[in-house]
Amino acid sequence: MPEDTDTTLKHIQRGNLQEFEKLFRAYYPLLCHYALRFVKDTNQAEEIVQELFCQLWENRKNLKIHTSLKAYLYKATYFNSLQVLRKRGVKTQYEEYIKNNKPKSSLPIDSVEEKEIYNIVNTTLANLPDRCSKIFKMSRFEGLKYQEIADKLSISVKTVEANMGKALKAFRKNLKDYVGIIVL
Amino acid sequence: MKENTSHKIEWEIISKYLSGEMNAEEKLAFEKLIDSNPTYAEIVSASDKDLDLIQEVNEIQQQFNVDVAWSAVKSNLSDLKKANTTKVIPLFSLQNTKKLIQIAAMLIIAIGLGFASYHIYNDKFAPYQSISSELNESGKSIILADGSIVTLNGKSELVYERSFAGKERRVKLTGEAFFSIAKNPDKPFIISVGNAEIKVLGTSFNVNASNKHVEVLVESGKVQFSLAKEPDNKIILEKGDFGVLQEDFLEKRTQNDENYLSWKTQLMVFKAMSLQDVSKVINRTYQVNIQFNDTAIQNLPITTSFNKTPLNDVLENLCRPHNLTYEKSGSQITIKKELK
Repeated sequence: MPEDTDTTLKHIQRGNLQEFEKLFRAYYPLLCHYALRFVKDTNQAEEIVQELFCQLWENRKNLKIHTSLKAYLYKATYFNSLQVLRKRGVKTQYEEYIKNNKPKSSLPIDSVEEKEIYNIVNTTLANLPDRCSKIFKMSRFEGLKYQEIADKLSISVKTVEANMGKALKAFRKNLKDYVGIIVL
Repeated sequence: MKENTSHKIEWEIISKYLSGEMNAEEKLAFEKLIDSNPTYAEIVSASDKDLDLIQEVNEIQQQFNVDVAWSAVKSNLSDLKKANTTKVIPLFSLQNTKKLIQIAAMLIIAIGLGFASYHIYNDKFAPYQSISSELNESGKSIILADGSIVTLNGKSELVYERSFAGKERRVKLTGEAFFSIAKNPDKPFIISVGNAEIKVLGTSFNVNASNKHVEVLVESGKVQFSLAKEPDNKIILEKGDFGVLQEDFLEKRTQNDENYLSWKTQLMVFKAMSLQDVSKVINRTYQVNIQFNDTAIQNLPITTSFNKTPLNDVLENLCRPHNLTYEKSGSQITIKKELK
């Protein structure tokens, strides 16, 4: 769901740090990932996005956003990244990007950089029962075999199977509007 | 949710297939099924994409640590007066902790569970929060408001201030933990543990304690180790130093136990160690309780090492060469002499 740019912005302009933090948490990793595409350096990508948020806070009272907050953040990340490239003297890279990316919107094309998908994955994971999400993480993020998970948690392989199936089903249900076209 | 009518969707099987958990035969049979049923095939391929996506989200999160970044940004905002709440969120992995925080100190503290649980919540912790771990949850981590990282061993608890607003950064520990403390010369980091107080002076160190007994092992830097009620009764520990507090008596010793940090590193090294001592290390590392049905086998000498090895493989490797077997029931393990 699209966030209400006006309300969020108003809260931030009034100095509501909690709203600002919410915004930061929702976008930070995605914007860094986006900046990384241009600057190819994680530390620099993080610096760009942190700097952007600092400026957003400092200038909040004078800030006017005509599009959405989301479009603004991506656009600003994009321009700040190019700025960094220019300073670095990577002229050709910079000009290349300007040539290729200028006309269209500078919103990301990568599906994962879309906040919706990112959020769905995170909320789905958070809403799984504790043990289920633990098992899922051990399998997918730590690369453990079912047998290893069963041993570590002192449960049967059958239970691991059942929980993995449960997780997979939950993800499919929640992602179906965004990935693939299957109606369950 | 409506199930596909002609075919019940078996998520367990799909998951097994996508996780590479099928043997050749099962795989063949499953692929045959997919081939004959396009709807099923589409679901499997969509789920496969889901998993890629989830993986990617996880990688982005691992790569860019939002907790660390937020504390960095927050500390750079000019008008910080309104900043009194910082959320602290447990992490799943610490692999990608960013250079943004300068680690001043690392330490492990452990304390006997028997005497540590009273007075956890005193006034100093008014706006406190706490995180605790169950017996089988060693490795649970959080990032505090200042960017410091604490990893709990099983059955431990940490009480901490949400925003470290005062002149000091104070936390209180029950159980055992590993600390990586963010550098801040203006605000000392102080850990209350049992009757001891450990003050980080800009270094990295490791603390451990058991019944009426607190131990500190310094990995780098400088640490002040004192009695909570008599701050003048203190010792300064530097790199490699090992401090022990027994009742009210503080002293510097040496620590030669290679497996001291095994619970965190999951690395165990045994050099001609008796099976009984080996099992103590395993108990600590995997949070289990090993017993023997025959005292004769306790003294078998063991020389081997394990690096992040699943518990069952560890036990298998220990038992097989000596013709032993083991029985596991929850966290209780009995090692037995094989009966002829």
